[in-house]
Amino acid sequence: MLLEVSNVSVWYDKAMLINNVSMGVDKGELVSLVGPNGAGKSTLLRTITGLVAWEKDLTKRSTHGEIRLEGQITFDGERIDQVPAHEIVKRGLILAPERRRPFKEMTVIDNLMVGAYLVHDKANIEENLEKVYQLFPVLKDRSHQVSGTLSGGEQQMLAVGRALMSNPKLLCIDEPSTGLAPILRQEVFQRIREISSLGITVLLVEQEVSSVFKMATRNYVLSAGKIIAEGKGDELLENELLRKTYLGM
Amino acid sequence: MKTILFYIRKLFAVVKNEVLVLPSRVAVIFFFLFILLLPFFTDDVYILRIFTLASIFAIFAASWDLLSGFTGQMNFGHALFFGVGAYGAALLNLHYQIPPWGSIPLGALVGVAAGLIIGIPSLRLKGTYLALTTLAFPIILLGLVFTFPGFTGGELGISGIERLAPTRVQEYYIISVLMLGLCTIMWAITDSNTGIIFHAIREDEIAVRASGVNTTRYKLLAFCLSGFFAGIAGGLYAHFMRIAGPSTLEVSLSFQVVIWAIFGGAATIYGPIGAVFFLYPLVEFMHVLKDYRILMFAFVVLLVLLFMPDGLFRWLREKVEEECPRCKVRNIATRKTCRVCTAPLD
Repeated sequence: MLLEVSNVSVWYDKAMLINNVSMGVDKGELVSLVGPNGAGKSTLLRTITGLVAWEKDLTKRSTHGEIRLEGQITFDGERIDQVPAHEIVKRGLILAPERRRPFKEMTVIDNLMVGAYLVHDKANIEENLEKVYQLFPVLKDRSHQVSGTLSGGEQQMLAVGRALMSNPKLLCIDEPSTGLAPILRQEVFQRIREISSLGITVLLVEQEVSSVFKMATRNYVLSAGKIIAEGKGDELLENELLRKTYLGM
Repeated sequence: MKTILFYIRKLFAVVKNEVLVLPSRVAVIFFFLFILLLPFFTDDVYILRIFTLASIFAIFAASWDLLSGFTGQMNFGHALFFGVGAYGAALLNLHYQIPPWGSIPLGALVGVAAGLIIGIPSLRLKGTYLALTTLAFPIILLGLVFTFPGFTGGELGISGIERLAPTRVQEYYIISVLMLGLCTIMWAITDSNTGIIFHAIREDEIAVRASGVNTTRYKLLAFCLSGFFAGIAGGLYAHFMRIAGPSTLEVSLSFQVVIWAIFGGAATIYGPIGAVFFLYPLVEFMHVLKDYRILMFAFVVLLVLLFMPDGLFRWLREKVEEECPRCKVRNIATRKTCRVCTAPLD
């Protein structure tokens, strides 16, 4: 397993957001994590990428109550649950965050260069930039445009492109389709499929179940912080109860 | 001989094709020439003194911009760095007889230490909380200064410090050339990859962190760099005025630097420098108005903030220059087509 999450629980003060979750992602897979609003999908991604631990450090002794983390996460054979977020990125696990979060006042190319921060080899940066431009030609056309003026879909492509600049082994994408028109969603999913076919392992958090189940090798269904089902898309859809209650189809 | 000619020709080509085409670049050249040639036109000690002090405060204002304008770490106690630089240089010079060329850099290192001291507790703070915390630090130090008058000189400060140079003109040149150099360095920092990360931290720290950047280190770096440059300004001030007193730590100085930076245009480096060279002499020359000059000062500042919220110099730049919609290269506003890609400008 490239990524292995075992018995991870997260508390924000008294609220248990992640309840004893175990899951794994193998090399080359495209794994999806689906579930209703507030299930803890984004929290789980942020836990894996070390951002929850960072938040825990920042809010220590604050009045909001404490964040508690339990369990073990290994990536590429090494434990990463004690490793700071920026070190985790260095090992090849990167997150394209929810709501895309581009640096809105900066140009597209500067955004991508922040993504390439960990790559010191200039030729490699050029190579990655070429790769990103090939995947998302629109970013090349707009490379000197301030990213706040891009459309939602273009900003999503920028967020994914920025993540790809760091040579990731595992790319986590958090809700890429939120707020996009249906046709743009399909385009974003198509690009994610292409990234996967380049040999980059992808862990995708999504609400748009029908499209995701078609492309993912495996799926996890998360509800109220717990993993309640796992399997291939069509298998999961056979289960009437699961389909109706949790997937809303 | 041939190579020298080649480089001279190349220099001319660069000046003609890259510098003279943009009013902002020409303005920078004129500014450099003005600063360097001023003593040839006047030997009035009073005017030289005003522009020397303006140079010192320009370094100070630009250093605030590096920290608060670019990285977004709102610092309302920037006088702390200025004060420790001034006191550090003064104490080293008086007690250990270290000459100015040693005491000023060492004072700046004290500024770096001060940057770390307020940087570390400030890492968890944002917005108003950070502003209030930073506001407190120079006041705390001021309290210490008054508590140990034997060491710090108390209300009177430390006087009897060595002069920077024997004559006013020499002092003017040392400080103004240093100002031009240090401000160019600060501008180069903000224009580099480090500058891109500073800017990115201001916009969205979590996204920077998620891109694998140790933002803690960069925030501390910003505090230290800013402390260093402000410390140099403080040391220069102490040696120029030959006194390091409590006025270098006062709240009014901390606010003054914020006003300069916002007036000229924050996150530009050139804005705060321009603002100091505009406002500082203006207030000095308005002394004929006696007590009304602060009122006039406030009026000018409010007027600019009302009509040019992004700062005076950014506003001016937008007026005389235009960005090409296709290739994003800047052009003089009178051009009809872009100078690089020939796309029409509207």
